[in-house]
Amino acid sequence: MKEKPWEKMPMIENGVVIDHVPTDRGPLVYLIVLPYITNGITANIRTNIPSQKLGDGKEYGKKWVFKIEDDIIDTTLENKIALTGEKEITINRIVNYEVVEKYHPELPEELSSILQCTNPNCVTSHDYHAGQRQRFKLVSEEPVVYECEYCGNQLYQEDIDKLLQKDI
Amino acid sequence: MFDLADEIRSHWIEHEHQLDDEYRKKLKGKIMATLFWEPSTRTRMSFEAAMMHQGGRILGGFTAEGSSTKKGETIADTIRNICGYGVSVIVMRHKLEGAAREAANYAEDYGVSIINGGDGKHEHPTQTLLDLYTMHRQFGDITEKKVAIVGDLKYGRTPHSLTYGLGIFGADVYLVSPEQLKMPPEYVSEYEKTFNKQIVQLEKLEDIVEVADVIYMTRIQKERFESIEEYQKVAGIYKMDYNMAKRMKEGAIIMHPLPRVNEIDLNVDNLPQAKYFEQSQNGWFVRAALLQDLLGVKE
Ligand SMILES: [Zn+2]
Repeated sequence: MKEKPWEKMPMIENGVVIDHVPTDRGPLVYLIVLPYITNGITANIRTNIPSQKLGDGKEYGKKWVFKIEDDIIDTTLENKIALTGEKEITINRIVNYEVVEKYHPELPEELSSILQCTNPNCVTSHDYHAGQRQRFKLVSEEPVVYECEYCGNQLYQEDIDKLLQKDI
Repeated sequence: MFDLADEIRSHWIEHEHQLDDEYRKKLKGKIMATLFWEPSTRTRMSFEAAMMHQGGRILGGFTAEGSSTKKGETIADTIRNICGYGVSVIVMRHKLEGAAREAANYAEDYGVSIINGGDGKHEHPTQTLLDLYTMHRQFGDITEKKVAIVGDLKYGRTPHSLTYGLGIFGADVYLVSPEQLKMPPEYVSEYEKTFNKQIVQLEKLEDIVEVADVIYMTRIQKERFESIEEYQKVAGIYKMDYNMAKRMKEGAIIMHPLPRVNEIDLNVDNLPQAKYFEQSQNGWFVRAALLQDLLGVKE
């Protein structure tokens, strides 16, 4: 079922549109974006919009769209969105009602924030100094797998999802 | 490195189990600190022997019990302290995985080498090195030699890194274990992907005894099990006895990282197949070569 024209979300003047968030991943992206829109920023979030792009060719898929009236994008937010593993998600930057930039955030090759090693015997979980130097290497994009550079433990999407939520 | 280990080994054997003055000068003036947060007498002493035979000295006495670790000192601080004493190399063992890497982060600034003598279940590289050296001594090139690793392949650190090491040298790996002690699939697939080779997994030692070039026995550790009943289900299921050893093919060998419990009968010890004591002795030849490589004065 296609989106009806009168259901279109209002345009924003200056800010960011995060589009093509698959419906089942909407709540996670919502939790990621939430800390960025708590300071009196206007945001419009709509769930379950029909999406041809997220469909399987025959049926429409469903997506969430986030329209935020402020340029909230920073590297951490880009990384977190990429870490959801949803490659279809697009970030649109809007200036004066025009899209000036449109891209899919990329998974960083190396990461020393956001993630934490889940191995209970990893030195980074016990040693204060080592804990501050955690580093992860991207070893696979599909599925997303990051590897702890200390103990070799690998973080999969379900581990990463938990860490993305924990951070809030 | 294997050549250097060979050289030290032949020298040792030809000189009635001594190294002469030439060797005793190799690491003169060098000090090796041994930091064993987790005790391992065998690994520590093997390194100490390797150092002392080549004229180096040991700064020992560190234990986790008596150290500042108990007061919450981090590895970073301990390492910077010890490096300040003017040591050339630190051999360490720690129960946490990645501990050696953390130590190396700081030792580097002092030009001090860190040797990992085991970090949790993660790595124990010199054990793998001496295992491969023992096979190399027996066969030379071990490409396509059939190596069966037997016993606890789930919790044991030795089998994981040995499997990978065998891959590097092109050997064929056979894994023999009961269902509940099988090697975790990520290690198997890492090997298969990296070396583009299949691993054969079996449950019975009998199925491989006549074809293997190396039978690498390991201990099934009681403390790994949640209950005594679980342990007793698998305890003693793999036993290398005299008759079994006799069925092995010509030139094939039995190895074991030691200590053993009852997986190899005492009457196997004097058979030509039994290489585990030689393997353990090779430990210090390999470590001597490693220390010389790291610290030795290059001519
Ligand atoms: Zn780790």
